[in-house]
Amino acid sequence: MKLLIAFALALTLGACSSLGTVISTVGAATTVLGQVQKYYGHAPKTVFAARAGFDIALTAAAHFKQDVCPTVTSQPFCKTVVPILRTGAAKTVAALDIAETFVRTHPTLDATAAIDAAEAAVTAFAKTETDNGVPAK
Amino acid sequence: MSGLQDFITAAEAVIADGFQTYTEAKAYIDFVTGVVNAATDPTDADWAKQHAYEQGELDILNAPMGGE
Repeated sequence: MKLLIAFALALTLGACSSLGTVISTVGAATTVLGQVQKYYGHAPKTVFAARAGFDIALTAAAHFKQDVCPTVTSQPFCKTVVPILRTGAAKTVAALDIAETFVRTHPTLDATAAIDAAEAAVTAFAKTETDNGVPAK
Repeated sequence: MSGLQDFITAAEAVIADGFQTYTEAKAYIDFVTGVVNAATDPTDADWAKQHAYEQGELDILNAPMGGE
């Protein structure tokens, strides 16, 4: 519960960001999704966008670690949560690397399996974040 | 498409979190948008730029915490 309160406070403080900037960024992200859906089946861009999704989730995790857990004892959960995030990130990078290598080496072959595995890894990483209290939304 | 939807969810989280390097994340999102909107496949330079951004965030996450 303390963790949730801490994040609620963090989100409240974060609300000071420029609304215009926020709106333009959401617009950019939405454009990305729309364009990727349009190109779904176009393997290189799909993997590129999936990797970008991971990178943004990774950004949240990295700054959670930097801001909330600068030391092992900053919060009671830092010692356990940060290693979980590190492990999850490493596994996701490995899956994305496989998918990327496949689509860049065989751009005309069916990459569905590699893409699905990469997207599943990204989804799992995002779930790891939310399960461990990294602000999800 | 769930992984791609996560891009939006995660991008919104980045915005909501309001952390100091937000401008860096914003620039990255703009970069990705440009690549996806392009008529051609991502270039080697695009992949390299993506890897560089990713590595920067991994370095932050993997840097030892104080006392670790």
